[in-house]
Amino acid sequence: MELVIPVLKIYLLIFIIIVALYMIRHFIFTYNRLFGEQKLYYQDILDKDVPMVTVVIPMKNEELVAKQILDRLVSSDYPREKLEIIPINDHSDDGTKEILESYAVKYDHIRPYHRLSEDEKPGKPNSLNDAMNVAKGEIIVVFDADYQPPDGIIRELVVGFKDPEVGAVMGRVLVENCGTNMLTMMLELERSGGYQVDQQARYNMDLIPQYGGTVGAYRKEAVLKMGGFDPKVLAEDTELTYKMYLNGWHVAYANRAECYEEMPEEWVGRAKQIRRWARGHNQVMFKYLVPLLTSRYLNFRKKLDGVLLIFVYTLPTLLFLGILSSVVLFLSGNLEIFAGIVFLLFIVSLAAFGNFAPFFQIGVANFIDGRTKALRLIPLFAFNFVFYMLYVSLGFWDAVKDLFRKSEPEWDKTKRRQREERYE
Amino acid sequence: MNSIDILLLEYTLGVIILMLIPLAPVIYAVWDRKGYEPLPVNMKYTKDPRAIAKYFDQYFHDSFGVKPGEILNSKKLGKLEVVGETFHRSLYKDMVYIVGKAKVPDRSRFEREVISRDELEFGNRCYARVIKSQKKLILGEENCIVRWIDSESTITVGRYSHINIASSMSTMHLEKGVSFRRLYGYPVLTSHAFSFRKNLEGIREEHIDKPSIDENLLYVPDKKYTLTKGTILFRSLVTQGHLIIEQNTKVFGNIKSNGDVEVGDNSFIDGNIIAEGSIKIGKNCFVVGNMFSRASIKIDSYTQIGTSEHPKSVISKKMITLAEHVAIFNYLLTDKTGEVK
Repeated sequence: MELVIPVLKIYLLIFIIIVALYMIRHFIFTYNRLFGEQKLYYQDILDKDVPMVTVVIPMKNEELVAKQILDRLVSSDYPREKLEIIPINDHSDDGTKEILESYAVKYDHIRPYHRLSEDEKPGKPNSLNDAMNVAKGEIIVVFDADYQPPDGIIRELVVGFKDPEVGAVMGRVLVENCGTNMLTMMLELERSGGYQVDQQARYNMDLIPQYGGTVGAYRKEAVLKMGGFDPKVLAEDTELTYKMYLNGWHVAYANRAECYEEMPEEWVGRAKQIRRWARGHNQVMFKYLVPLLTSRYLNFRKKLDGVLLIFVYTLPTLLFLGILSSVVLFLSGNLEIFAGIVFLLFIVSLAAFGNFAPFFQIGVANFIDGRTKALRLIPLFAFNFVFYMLYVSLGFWDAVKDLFRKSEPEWDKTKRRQREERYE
Repeated sequence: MNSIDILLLEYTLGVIILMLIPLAPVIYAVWDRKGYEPLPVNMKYTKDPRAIAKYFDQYFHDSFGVKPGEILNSKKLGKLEVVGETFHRSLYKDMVYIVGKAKVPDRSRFEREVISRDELEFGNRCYARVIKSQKKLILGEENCIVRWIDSESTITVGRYSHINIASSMSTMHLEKGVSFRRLYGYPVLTSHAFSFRKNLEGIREEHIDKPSIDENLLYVPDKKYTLTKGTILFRSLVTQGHLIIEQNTKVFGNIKSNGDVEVGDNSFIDGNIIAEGSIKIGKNCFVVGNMFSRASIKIDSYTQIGTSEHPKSVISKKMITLAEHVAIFNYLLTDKTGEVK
């Protein structure tokens, strides 16, 4: 016991410093977004010489949404002769295959790719790897099946590759079903903070904007040279971000390339999703932390941002342990000297990690978006604090177990629901 | 229940009420359900530099269905005055529709939009909010157009005029001293035209046996890098610092600099030039690519950007300075001001 108490005290102190560091980071991002110089993306470039593009849509049992995204993509303003659409049917056992085939008959630039044999292991990384091998495009644009890409978005994403240093481009995701219930509205507020402030500020400050795996694009040759996607990693998007930077490429963020997505409408679905993300992100952390710190392509600022980003889904676990430490210290009568600091811990951690964007960041993002009424829901993020801490921690332990597991993890699909076409 | 119990109950109730205070806006939001709509995204949006002009054209026709010789009213656009070839006064407060070929006298002032279906010529020192012409449009010297001008045909802008946004489906001539923010023309020419190249014949062909542009980047981590005079480079180039391309150099690839880029006279760049700093292009250069700077862009005389077959863009966050005798196919945009010097 004599040894445990000092260890817990030191842990608590170090942890409070780390959390405060994150809070400062997010404060700088928010300040930059409000008052700093905004970095111009390339969407204003008009150029008739456009590269061949392959749009890839990984699908598993997506009969409820398949038509919707294909209809949106066929109305794209990108030149038809330079566009190829590959919906990947990844072991679907519903009507997805039939829907894709019916579109392939109608449109010669839609070429479905069916992954049905048992030799072809399911999962998004495997699907993307297979699609890259058959894609004609030099640029791969990825959309998840529940997304609704506007007519001009492919051009807006692809124009970023005029910059020879850009290896991947990320657009902005908006929640289409945000009005359904309180969960979806909170997710939209959180997303807004993540994109409108976090991503844009990191792009402004030449740090590490994140490729998000959908509403994004990347150079096919560059990814193939890097060995494609690792099927064992559940967060292929985060992996690509780090791979890009470790190989000298950059990720550009296109804030005006906006696309609707459908978010989970039930807490159970959200819990599974967040646990999967945490697992994948931490897999990337275990795999890329050392290469990140030793990379010759990254300067100190980028390394620091990269480290803070890679630990985002580890922190709730550390926070959970921090709270446990404080409880033990309190019960053993050793907390009094830390009273002020512990109080600070709760304030700072609640502000910074009650969600994936601190309260002030969400507030500013939605202020920029002109959505202020929904901000009344912000106090509810205190509940998210506990919810995320629990499921992200579970995801972290899943990733730890993956370190000792040889088999590929199983993909868990987010539940869809059919909706009317509202934006035609 | 004794007094202590009541006190305890009161305290408990007080604490519960205090805890509920932060949730008051939440409860109101749940009851109110306003502001829950998704952020609007224009699903049909397609980038078009003439979008404002086309939209206005449509709006104008929908609102008026113009019949020459009549003064009309529209709830949306207000009063419209129809003017023939003669202008009786120098100040027009309502929207003006000009019938037939017309020449607007010097120092005329139009506080609303001017629409013409025929050739239109403005004198000197005129002021207008918007000019929309179906045919040739000529602006004299020192005119000020606050919003935009658009023509289906050629546009000529006289010395020291300010035009803000201008778009044309044909050639746009800009004389010395013209300032702008956005231009779109086929092509945009500064001052007197010189014989610009219509295509890439004889330029790409002479290097046809060499490898084409590849994706293998040449990374230069140095703070300053120089491509010496007469170099021919067949790959994309990324530099961490300033890049100097000396005269008579040919680059078949894209260029990215995290500092400034200077291109010497008589150089040929077959690719995009992207710079975090400023871009300076020397005399008699030919760039078949987009130019994008997060600082300023300066283009010297007898230089051409793009061709009619390969129209490109010149985008700058700060100033764009064009010398005389420059041809740009076909789009320029700056967040600050552009100027012909």
